Amino acid sequence: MQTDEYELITQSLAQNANAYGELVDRYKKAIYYHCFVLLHDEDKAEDIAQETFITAYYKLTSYDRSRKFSTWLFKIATNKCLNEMKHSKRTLNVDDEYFDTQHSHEQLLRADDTQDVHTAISKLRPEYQTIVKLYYFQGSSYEDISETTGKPIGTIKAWMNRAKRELRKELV
Amino acid sequence: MKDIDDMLRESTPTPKRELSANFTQEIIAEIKTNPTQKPASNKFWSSIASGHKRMATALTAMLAVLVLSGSVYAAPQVIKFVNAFIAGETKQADGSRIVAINMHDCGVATNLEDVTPSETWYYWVNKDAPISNDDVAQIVQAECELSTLEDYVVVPQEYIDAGNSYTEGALNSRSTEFDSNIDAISSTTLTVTTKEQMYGQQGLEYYENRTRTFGAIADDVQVYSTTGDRIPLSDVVPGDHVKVTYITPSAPSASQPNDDANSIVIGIQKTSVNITQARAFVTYNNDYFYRVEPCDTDESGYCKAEQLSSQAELDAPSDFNLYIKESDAINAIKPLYELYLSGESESSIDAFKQLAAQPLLNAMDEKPISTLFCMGAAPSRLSYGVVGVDEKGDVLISAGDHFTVLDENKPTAIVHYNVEAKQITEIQCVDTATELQMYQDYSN
Repeated sequence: MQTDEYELITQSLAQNANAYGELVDRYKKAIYYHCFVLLHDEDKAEDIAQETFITAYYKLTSYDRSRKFSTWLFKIATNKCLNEMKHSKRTLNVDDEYFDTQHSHEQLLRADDTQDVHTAISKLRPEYQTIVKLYYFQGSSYEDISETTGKPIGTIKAWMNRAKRELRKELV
Repeated sequence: MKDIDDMLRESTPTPKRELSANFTQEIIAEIKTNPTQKPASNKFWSSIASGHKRMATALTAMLAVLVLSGSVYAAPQVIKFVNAFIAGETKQADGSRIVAINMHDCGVATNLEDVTPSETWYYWVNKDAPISNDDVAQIVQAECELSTLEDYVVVPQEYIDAGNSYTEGALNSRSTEFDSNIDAISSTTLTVTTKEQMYGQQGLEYYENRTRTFGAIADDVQVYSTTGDRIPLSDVVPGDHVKVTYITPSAPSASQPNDDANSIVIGIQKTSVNITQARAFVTYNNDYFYRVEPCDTDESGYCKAEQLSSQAELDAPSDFNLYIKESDAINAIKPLYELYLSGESESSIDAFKQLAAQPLLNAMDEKPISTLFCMGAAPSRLSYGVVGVDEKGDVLISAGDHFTVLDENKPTAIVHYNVEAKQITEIQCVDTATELQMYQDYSN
């Protein structure tokens, strides 16, 4: 039987590293995927996911138990990914291997579109990139994005419109 | 041609590999090696609750765009707003007009491939649009200012308390919407009224006036003028329009509203009169006003600017004045209905008497409140909707005790509310969905 999350957090606060490891196991895939969607880089996503869990462990005393643990984790992860995006000047590394192997004409066209989309997104401000990726790739609602980023919904919607306006110019 | 939404959704990336097998073990090893690295302390919020006076420089806040790796403080950069002025007007045969606006370094413009700084912008204005050329210039300038300000919002990077460091990830940093109005301010507390976009039944969107009092102001609160200059807190006075940034012990949720009493204001950005004024106009409705560019393909000499067409997607209403009136009406009526719903019938009658116009009160002749509201004896929930505007200009709000007003054969009250007089002038009971639909068709 799974140990209650509340109990795992209590044990983690008592510096039970194995209990915290169980919490990590519960959320590691979700956080990894979340970071990958934002960073589009498996290695970076894994690094940031690990940093997220380590930061969360050290900040566990500041976690407010009336809120969902997962929401708090995602907020830390989002901030770390956003910092990475702001500090990294590298351009998006769309998987070149895809184009080296044989694919149907339709597949190549689709891949071409995908590359264009990701390139266009990478030209947006990091904040815009974040909300576009969370909304379209992660399926997050405006409310979720507001919660995760700490920005009012009105701001999220305004940014989304501006981001889409810029993307439309690039892509359509 | 594919829609942009479809293109984005079809481009969802998928990682090419799973997490490393030793992902969790590495984390456990790290925290076992350094079990108490950077300990956090719950003194942070308890110090606020006890009214503990924080030392100056406890908070490190800076402009988001100026964050430098490793730096603690950064000098604020003066915001250079656009300076929009009317460069000319061309009357069109159909009575509409083209207004040329001379822009300078507008942040929005720099995102457009075909527009360079200092270029003249052209706007088509409908002959019936209730906006002057000065209004157009102000609206355009406000749009640019908003775009610029979003880059200059105070963002907390670190909070140091009792020797403990709280970095951005551990803080709940939030901001009010732009254009919050200062109601009261002291050296320790701040009260503002915000217009917050709410979502009602049937997709209804409206502004709800909310008064928020923040329980603390950081000693080193970052206050900026409309031009981005750092100013003292004493320069902020009631009546100012601002955006407030604060840190809060917990993010709001449906079950847990904003904990403003325990929140700390860390940044105040004054917003210009342009932004305030512009919101009173129809800014995004293509029927009244949109951006054009000189072209040869249209006999008018101007074509609709392609890059601006997406502005129509913004959530701003087609008629901002009406939108505000509808919001004001809902804000006035909603508490009355909620009081009734809570079972406080006597209080409901008293509250109603405060709102009702005298002729309506006379006509009611002490009828029971349940009849007044067209409802059953024990409504379990209420829904609101804007039905339209009557011939006198009063806003019509529907209110019923069921989830949607059109799908059930239950009575609904149509409340006529005069926004200027702040009075309910009339109430009608509508018994069927068909009847309500007819009412809507008529009023629209």
